[in-house]
This record gives sequence, structure tokens and C-alpha cells, in this order.
Amino acid sequence: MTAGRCRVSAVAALVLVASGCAKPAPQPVQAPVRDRVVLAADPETGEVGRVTVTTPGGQVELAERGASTTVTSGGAPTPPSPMSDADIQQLFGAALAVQPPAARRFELYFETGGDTLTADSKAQVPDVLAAVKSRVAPEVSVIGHTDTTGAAEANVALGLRRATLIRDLLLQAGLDASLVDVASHGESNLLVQTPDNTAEARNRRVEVTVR
Amino acid sequence: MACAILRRGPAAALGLWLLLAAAPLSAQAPPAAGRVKAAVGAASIVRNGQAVPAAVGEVVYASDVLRTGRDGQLAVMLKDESRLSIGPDSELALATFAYAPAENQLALVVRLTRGALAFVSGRIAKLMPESVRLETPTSVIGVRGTHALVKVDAP
Repeated sequence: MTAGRCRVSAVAALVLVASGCAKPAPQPVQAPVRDRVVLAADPETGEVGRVTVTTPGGQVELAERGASTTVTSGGAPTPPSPMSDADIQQLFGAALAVQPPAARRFELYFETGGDTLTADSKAQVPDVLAAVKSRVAPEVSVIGHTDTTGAAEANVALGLRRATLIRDLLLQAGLDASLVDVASHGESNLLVQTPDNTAEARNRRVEVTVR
Repeated sequence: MACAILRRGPAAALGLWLLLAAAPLSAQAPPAAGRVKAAVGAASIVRNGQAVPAAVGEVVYASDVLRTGRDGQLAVMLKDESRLSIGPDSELALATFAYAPAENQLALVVRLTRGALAFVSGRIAKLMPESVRLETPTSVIGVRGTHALVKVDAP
């Protein structure tokens, strides 16, 4: 870049700063970008979490159901104020109308040392299949777990056998193999913490998540 | 316009965005980030600068942009169980998505440039809340559970 061009862009930058960046113009030609942020209750559990909105001008935290803030270009977020359900519906109704249902999780338990489902869990398999079939474009993650009986390496293999058994049930029910992820955590992700070499029925499980 | 960019400050953020947007061109096909769960009216996925119609079941990747027209609605479920749905005249970039809990790689950044977004956080927000971020041209929104609504009125 030549020195001349450098000077020109420096001057241009100065003009920019002088013409409006230093102090906001009172009457902007274009309407400023405005954000509205609302904290809503969880669609399934009804729980209300927390949201922070940060701009170069400041930060606001929303912590109550329906609390909202508005951001004008370059300004700080306004203090939280409640947005009516009618306004929420007007602004977000279309987005909310197509919101997918929450993922569902199932825990299936196994007899010790092998890949035989307990009677209770076997009876639950149809529920899992029904959950898959009720969904649009379902995806399933299947993770096998063991208790701490036996060697850790053998338990990774056992967890995989358990997960594979459940995967095969899903495939038999018509789910495409590309939509099922299978993994094993062996004894590394205990539901109930135990010492090594401890039989614990609640740790001998396959976690099925239907998305 | 130049003023707005200067005020936002992040020439660096813009650079990062370009980098992320360009990444799939050079890299191998990235792992799937999620799937389309609903598509109504004019709804498309913009990938590497090309818009393809969004259909239910379509795979969505990190750096994809979801776009709807005047009568459009579009919803995606991500691998970490986060749910994104947008209303008409909306544009949402899935800027960053990493979900590998075993490797402790967890990140979700989505950028709404216009329109309406309903966001329900998933596993990433449970495991590492600070790594979930919604961005607009003017704001950065941190979501610590679970359901946030964001509307951007473009100038």
C-alpha cells in the first residue's frame, strides 16, 4: 500500500469518527437494529432458567418467566420488563409452533455379566420403539454401561454388546442404521458410585436417547 | 453501516466468522450437527454459499445457515438435544457446534441476523453453560437454561 493511500484511508476513518461514531446522531437515517430477548419457561418442565444479554453498552440478566429486554443499536439492554403472552405469541408464535419436542431418555437394565435384559426392562422396549416411531426424523443414541465387576477393558466390550443388542432391536423395528449411534462407556460412567468389583444392578444399563 | 461495524468492534469476530464459514470448503465433510425436524413454506439451508430447500430429515452441519422467507418456518434438533426453531423472514447461522463430551469439546454458537428464534438449550448447556452463546448483530446472549426467545429487527 502506498503512503498516499494510507493517508486517504486514515482521513476516511477520521471523517467516519467525526461524522457520527463519536456521538450518536440524534435522528438516525435508518431505524436502528433492535433486539428483543425474552426468557420463557421450559416447554416441557416449566422450569425457568436464566439469560444474560450483553452489548457494548451494558448487560442485563433475565431470571423470571416472561422477562424481556430490548436492545437498540449501540445502546445498553433495557432493564427487564414482563412481556405479555399475547406479545410473545405475536413475535414468536410461528417459531414456537414448529418447536420440536424434547428428546426422551430411557434406561434399560441387564442381568449380571451378560446382555440379557431384566424382565422389567424387556417390558419397556415397546415404549422405546413407540417413542422412536412417534417422532419426525428420529435419531437415537444408544450407550452401554456396566457395573465394576470384572476388568475395565472387558466391561467396555460388554457395554458395547448390551448397546448393540438394543440397536438391533431398533433396526428390526425398521429404523435406518445410519440414524442410530452406538457407544460403550464400560464401567467409566457409573450411575451409582461403587468400589471396584461391585455388582450393582443400576449400573448395568443401556441409556437410550431418542431425539 | 461502517459505523455500526466499528461500534460492534469485532473485526476479529468477523474474521472468525469468515474462517468458520469457509472451513467446510477445505476440510473433509464435518460431522453432522443435527437434523431438520420441521420445514414449512420457504425454508432453506445455505451451505458454502448455495441454498438448498430444507426438508424434514435433512442433515445440518456446523457453519450452515438456516433461512426462511415470508411464509417460512424451520426447526432443527441438534445432537446435544438443543432445539432451534425460526419463524418467517429469519436467518440463523449455526456458527459453531462441537459435541464430544468424552473429549470435553463442547461449544454452541448460533447467530441470528434477522427474524425470530426460539431456542431450548440441550446437553452442552448442562455440561458447560458458558460455552453456549446466541449472537445478534448487536447483542451476545448467554443461556443458562433453557428456553430463550430472540427477535432481531434488521434495519
